[in-house]
Amino acid sequence: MRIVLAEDSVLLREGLVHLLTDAGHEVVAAVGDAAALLDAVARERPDVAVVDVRMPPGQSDEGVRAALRIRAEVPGVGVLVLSQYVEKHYAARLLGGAPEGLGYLLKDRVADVAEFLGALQRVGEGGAAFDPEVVRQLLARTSHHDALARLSPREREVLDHLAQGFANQAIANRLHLALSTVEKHLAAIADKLDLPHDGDYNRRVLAILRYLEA
Amino acid sequence: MGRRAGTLVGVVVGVPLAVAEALALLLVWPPGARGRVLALLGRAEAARLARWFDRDVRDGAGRARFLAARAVTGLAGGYLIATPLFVGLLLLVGGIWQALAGEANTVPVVLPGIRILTSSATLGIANGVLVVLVALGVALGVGAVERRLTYALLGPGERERLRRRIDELASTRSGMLAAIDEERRRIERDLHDGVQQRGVAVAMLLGRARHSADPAAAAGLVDQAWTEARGLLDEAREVAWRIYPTALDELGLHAALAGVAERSALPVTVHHRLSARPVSEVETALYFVVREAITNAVKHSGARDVVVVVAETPTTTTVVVSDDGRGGASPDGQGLRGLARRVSALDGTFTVVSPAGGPTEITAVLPRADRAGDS
Repeated sequence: MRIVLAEDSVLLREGLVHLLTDAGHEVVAAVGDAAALLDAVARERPDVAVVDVRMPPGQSDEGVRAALRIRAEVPGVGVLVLSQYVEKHYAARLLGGAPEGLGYLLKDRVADVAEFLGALQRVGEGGAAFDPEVVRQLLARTSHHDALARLSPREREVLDHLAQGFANQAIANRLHLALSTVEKHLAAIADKLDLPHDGDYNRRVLAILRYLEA
Repeated sequence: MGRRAGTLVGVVVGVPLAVAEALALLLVWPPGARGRVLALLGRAEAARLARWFDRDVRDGAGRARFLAARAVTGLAGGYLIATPLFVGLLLLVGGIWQALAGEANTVPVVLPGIRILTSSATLGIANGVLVVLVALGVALGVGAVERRLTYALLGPGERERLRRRIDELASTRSGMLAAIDEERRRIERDLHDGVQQRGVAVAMLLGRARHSADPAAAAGLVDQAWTEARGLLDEAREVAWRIYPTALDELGLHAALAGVAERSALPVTVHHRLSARPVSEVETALYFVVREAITNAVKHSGARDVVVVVAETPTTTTVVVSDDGRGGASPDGQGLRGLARRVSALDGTFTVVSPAGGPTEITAVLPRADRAGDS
């Protein structure tokens, strides 16, 4: 995939360039601030922009704002936001639109190379990738505790993976289940939480995230 | 209006009191009696000032100097008020008498361009009111003079001093909280920009090594990770030291400052002239003043040399940090503002003298407080 990388720490930027290049991706631009990121994305039209949240000049949420602009102005570019902390607030802002081609991960996840590359791949293909920590916080703070309490432990696991953005087959692989079993669990979850039975991946991820956010 | 009315009453009461004070000071008294009389008058003065001038002066009001000045202003004021008041009342009474008795004459009033015929009664009453108002104005003026006189001779009263102290404490307290928050932000930035990024970098290198199919490449990545990990440890140690140098507690200010001088990118000479160890909060303040001043000098001044002098007087402990750089340091910068807050929370003063072109001199003067049983 063609990737634009925005990360202000030189150390991490170089590390990420190596990591992505080793994995066979092409880093078409590696920049250190939000303005340069927006330029590079407009110019290069990459498959994915990997964006650090905290960048100069303000060192606050420049990355999130840039990510939202990219999603609004350059459709078709996946955005993977990396953050040192999980901020539900950022997640909520990013989820303002559809979760298509959107990822929000803790920065530490880059250490788990295979997982990170998997998330990047999902975002590049128009899927979603949300950090397990983001999902954990969504689950902890949701107002739907009663409905969630009705899920079996297995269904909770499936829900967890679903919210992270994994497709049915990936969930089956990760939980060592048959695809049909996963589909059965998904139907049960939709019933218990009163969500629409919908085969479309993105609508399903969006529905579950919106549900948890409330 | 209430306050003005109070002042008027106070001034009027002050006139007979001034007469008594003048007599007390001028008459010949039997030995010891004058002191008692003056003390009594002082109490009367204090009561008068408290009642009508909202001043709290428990001590000093009985001093001869104050009473003498009060006698002079009181008598002069009394005369200045009494004269127009007398004339005014005379006119008023005369006018009213004429009006009631029907004895008024027609009087022509001729002013440039104006010619009016009026009755002498009206004229008398009008002028009487005018002059009485003048007398009131003079009385308020005398009140203002007395206020100033009291302030000049007796200084702020206890209540006034307490009020100022409370203002000062409230402002240094909120300043201290702001300084703590600022400090925390700085620590978070230090951790985020340094330690956390390096930590992620180390983990990423090891992750790539694990992920790598080529053993030679993996070994190279592990080597890099090892180097990064050592950098991470240095960084963590550095951040911890910036947060609080334990050497300050264990070895004292002198050693801690020597440590700062050694780490500095500029040559720093430290003259330590304290005979005893200050209490911990003073030591910490002195230490951070020096460190921040040196950091500023290194970053902004282009100085070649920094001199630190820590000295004491019987009542103060002072640190002066001077550099030979280009000056222009702003006391409103984040670091210096934090120091100013820290120093003023200890009732000290913090000054930055840094004219454009240099040199820069940063001074903190703290009330002296040495550790008990330490020398």
